Amino acid sequence: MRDSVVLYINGRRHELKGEHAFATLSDYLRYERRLTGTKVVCAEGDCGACTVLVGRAGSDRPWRFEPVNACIVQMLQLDGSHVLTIEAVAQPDGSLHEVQRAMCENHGSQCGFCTPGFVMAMLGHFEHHPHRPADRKEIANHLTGNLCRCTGYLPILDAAADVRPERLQSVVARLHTEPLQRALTESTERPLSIAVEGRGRLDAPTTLDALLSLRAAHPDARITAGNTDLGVMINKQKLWPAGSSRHAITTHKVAELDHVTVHEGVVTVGAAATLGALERACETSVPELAKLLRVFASPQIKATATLMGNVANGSPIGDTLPALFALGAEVEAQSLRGARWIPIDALYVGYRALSIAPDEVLTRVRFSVPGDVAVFRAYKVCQRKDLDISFVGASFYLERSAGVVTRARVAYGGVGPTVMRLPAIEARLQGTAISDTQAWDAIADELAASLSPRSDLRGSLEARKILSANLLRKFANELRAEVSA
Amino acid sequence: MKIIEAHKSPSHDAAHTHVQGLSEFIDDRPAVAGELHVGVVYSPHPHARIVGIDPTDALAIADVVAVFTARDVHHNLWGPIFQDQPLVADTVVSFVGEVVALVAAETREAMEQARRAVRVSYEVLPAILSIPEAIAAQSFLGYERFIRRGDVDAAIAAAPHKRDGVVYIQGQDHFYLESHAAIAYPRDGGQIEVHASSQHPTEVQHIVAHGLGLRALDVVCVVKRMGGGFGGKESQAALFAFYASLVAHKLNRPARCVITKDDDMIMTGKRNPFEIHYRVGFDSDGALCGLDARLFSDGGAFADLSTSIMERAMLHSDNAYFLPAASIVGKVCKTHVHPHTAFRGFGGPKGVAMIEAILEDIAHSLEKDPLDVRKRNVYSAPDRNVTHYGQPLENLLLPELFDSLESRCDYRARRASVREHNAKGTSTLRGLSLTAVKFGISFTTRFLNQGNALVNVHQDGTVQVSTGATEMGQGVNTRIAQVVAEVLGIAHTDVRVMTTSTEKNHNTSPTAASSGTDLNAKAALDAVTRIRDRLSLVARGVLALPEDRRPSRTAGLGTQPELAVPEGARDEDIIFADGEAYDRLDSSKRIAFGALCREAYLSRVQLGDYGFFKIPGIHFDKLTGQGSPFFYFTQGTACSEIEIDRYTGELKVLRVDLLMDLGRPINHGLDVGQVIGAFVQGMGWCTSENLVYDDKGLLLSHSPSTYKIPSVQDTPRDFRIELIENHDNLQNVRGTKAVGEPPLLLGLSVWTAVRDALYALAPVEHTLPATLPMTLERILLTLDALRLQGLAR
Repeated sequence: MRDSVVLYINGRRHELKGEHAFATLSDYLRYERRLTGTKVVCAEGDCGACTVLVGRAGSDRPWRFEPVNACIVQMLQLDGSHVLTIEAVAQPDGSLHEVQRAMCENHGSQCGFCTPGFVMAMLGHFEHHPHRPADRKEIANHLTGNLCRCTGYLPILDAAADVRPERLQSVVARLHTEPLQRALTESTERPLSIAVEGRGRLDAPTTLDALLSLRAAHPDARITAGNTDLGVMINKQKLWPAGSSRHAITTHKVAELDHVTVHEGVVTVGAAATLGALERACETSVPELAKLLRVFASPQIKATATLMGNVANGSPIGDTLPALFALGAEVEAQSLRGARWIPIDALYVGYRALSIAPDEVLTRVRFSVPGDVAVFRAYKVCQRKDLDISFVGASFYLERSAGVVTRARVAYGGVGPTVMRLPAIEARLQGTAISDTQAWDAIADELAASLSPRSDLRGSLEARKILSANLLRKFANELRAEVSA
Repeated sequence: MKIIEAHKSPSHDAAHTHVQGLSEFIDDRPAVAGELHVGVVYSPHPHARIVGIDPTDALAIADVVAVFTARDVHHNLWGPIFQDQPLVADTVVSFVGEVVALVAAETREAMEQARRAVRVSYEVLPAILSIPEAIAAQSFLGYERFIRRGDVDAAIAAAPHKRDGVVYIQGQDHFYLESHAAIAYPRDGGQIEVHASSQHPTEVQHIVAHGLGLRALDVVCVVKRMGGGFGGKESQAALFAFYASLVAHKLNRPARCVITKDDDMIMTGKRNPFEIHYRVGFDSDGALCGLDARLFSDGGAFADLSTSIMERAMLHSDNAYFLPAASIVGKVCKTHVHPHTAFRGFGGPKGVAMIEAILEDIAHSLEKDPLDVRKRNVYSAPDRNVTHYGQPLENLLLPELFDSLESRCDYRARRASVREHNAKGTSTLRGLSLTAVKFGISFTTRFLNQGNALVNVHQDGTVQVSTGATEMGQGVNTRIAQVVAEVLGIAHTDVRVMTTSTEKNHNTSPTAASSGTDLNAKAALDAVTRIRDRLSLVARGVLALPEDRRPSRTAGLGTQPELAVPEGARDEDIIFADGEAYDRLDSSKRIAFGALCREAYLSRVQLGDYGFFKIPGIHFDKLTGQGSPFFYFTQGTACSEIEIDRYTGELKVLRVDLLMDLGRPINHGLDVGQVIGAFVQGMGWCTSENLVYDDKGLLLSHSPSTYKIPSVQDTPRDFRIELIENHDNLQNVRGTKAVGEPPLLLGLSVWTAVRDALYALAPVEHTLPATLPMTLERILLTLDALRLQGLAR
């Protein structure tokens, strides 16, 4: 067993024992290492000012450097990682990196507070695509996790467009050497456990068995994967407030859980697999899900957050959940006693309440790839298209024959204490002709009448009902348009 | 109109360090030994009596050093206009987020713990949380203001058409990325040096001094830069600077007060919400006959800048349009929410939102293109070019800006295609709107329109300039450096604008009202011009001497008489260009600028100077509402095309064309950056930025997860920005025009375009509610109401 977190920062080895292991990455960088280029604005992963690149290996992929929000990632999660910060981007001789030059010359920076985050996010893109100029749409997609209040973004996009591939220098290639990677991998093979009097305990098991044993022994510990939700709760003093003791167990080093497979029409997603990995894996098999994931969260969040985190969190909005409900997904719960698959719509028994035993760990999600006769569509409506929590989310899965619905799964989020299937509406849809506008319209009205959402800061009950009905109408309209096309 | 061609211009003077993460902000300063963390304890109630504050539990926490309350403040009332706000609440709290106690601790962890451990007991009192509640309770701040022209009742009565209505305008959070922050260092003899993220260092100096019972000479406020300000750090930054200073002063230890984004949003005021009740008369062409408007703003719990903001709203109720008769009355409501404050545009956007909405409504009711109604009303020479407050409009470009943008953006053809698209009844609805801005430049309070500058030229020919301007991303320092460099004929990189500090520049005005460059570059120009004049005489003298008799060879020995340089004189034949001074009449006679400065020093010629500037010829009588408060107007037009998803209310901004008159920009790139940034910020206010409070006055949307400023994907799909050539604004420094605020008001074209789209579904007699912002929810509810009324589909 190890008792220190081992990581590299800008090519240098750091071993964190005791107290330091409990910090967020941004605090560690800013206050322990004087690397103050990494800024903190929101402390909730919503603005990207703290973006750094984190390189790590997955069980099913080579080393990959991706943008990460340093404000919500805990040092524990970074065991075995290589972190690159803004301070490492300029050339050793002091000259600017091509991305930095372009940002300067195109007035991509005004007050400068968001700038390091933008540079890091942009660098992340070019590290993966060094040989071609940035496509405007692609780079915009890559920058959805970064907020700027000064520039109106256009100069930043101009800067990205001005980056000349022939002048790009890879920061990863300069700092992430073969021996470094070997040393890092070797020194983080063993499981990690750190306990500090008064601060609590951190565990990073490396096998599923060890995870299950830890869970059985510590039913009150919090299991975390990407920490994108827990990190926010910690920062906002809602979980483990200042002065309290914590126990976190991370899944990120359990190789058995870090996979996404598409095999014989079934997609299986391990609990440690990131949303980014899922997005890449679904691109061709379930493109609608990949499309949802594109607006679901920023690249920074998707690089760390997991699908299982979303499932276990049990949010009543839970952006991926309506989709999983409509796809008829199942979730695997394991304990030392054994494993069982739970249909996802039976998993939630109340507001953020899950029907699992204290010793159980959610380990895998699986669902079938929609077949040729099926239509699967996921909608997420929010005030801001990108990086916003849904006002209402709705997903539809239909099978049809000769223009008539033969089977339907309809799931909504944001309209009740949990994400829910709507069996009455599903029954009404069965046998309905896709072209029967009036019937769909009537079902949409019934759907709205059947819901009793709450008003909250994202919107009123009224608007949620209207939107819920309209999403069914929109879906029907799109189906008809496809048929006529 | 001629368009200025886009060209490369110098980058922001800190761009190079910004992109490397090397620019220092307050919380990037290294902790010094003994430094304390200051935490705020604030009220959870909108209105309550403080029954007791018990620090026992907080003080029992390890590493907690002290807890301070109002009793520790020497003089506890402050405010930029009226001194009505306690620095720390003493007997009563008046808004959620009002500070009741401060904790000082050795570590951030202990500070966070202590904040929650201070036990404050309250007796909750009834609260006023909205404009209507305040009106009902007659709860106001300051006195009623009015601007009147002609007999508005008669004008409306005689008009062929009349309408009345209410415009509801929500606030807006500044969402500067760097939340409020300050560090105070105790210095010898009870002095305080406070580093603040403030747009107004002089005010910080004054408030810290009087809150601690010190004099101005005991306090220095230093502002290196801000991570955004937008008005939110004009007045309210002083509070946090004071909190750090109080702890530093009481404990004689450095103290750091850095606020989280959530606390910042809960505690500090926003753009004032407005509710405007109006009556308007107009003719069959849509020409306005009279406008009677009563403007109510929500000032929050204390006056802050709200009365001046109201004044600017009233002064901009005409926007680009001539009001033959008008009565504009303004009242600031006192409520129990955070004291609202300056925000880019000040009151301007609110007055302009009203008049643009009214014109949109009139056009719909007359079945006219809103552009035709706007053009019918736009100010024009010779007899429709005096504002309702009596200022004649000189250098009036608005009619031309309308015509030029109309053709440049192909308005008529696009109007036809929008109409066609909407008639097809697809799943989307489109809207198009062309609006204008005429923004008055100057503080409406005359005494603020002054600036001073210190220019130090060194012996190597490099220059340090200090002014009262504060840098928050807008590039004021870059522009000042360029202006100074131009006079001396040196590279702008040979001029550095230094950290702002009240020990170098005294009695400065806030960097606000878009005036930063106008006031401070002009003051610097005043100083550097005198230096240049002296150097011209030095150059004349030195160039006349053989090399070996120049001061650089002889001054040490004293073998030559000293050059005579009479004050106030200049040799106009000496030209300063390309890093040299040379004789226009004999260009072989030249000397490098650095060498010249060395010769000047050795000749005991003053190489530094102090400059001063005040804007001439402005006056405004706040009691009669008449005068010429503005030095000039920045003008522009914008055309926005938007698309709404009829099912979801989702909004896309398809295309925006902006055309602005910025005089002769000092730095084209920086100015265009201001235009784009301000437009997008204005667009955010009009669309996605929704401040939601609960029924206890607590702001619920207090972080970016719930408060949605535009993201990169929300920017217009097609975004075209052009500046016109205008060399006529000669009264202002270098013929430039202020740019900081005006383009924000053009963001309203997105709001009116949304209304234009929705109007496509409404019959002629139907008036849409005028509510800002048009969030997804409001669009959705409006679409649904139109559908239920059988109006749509």
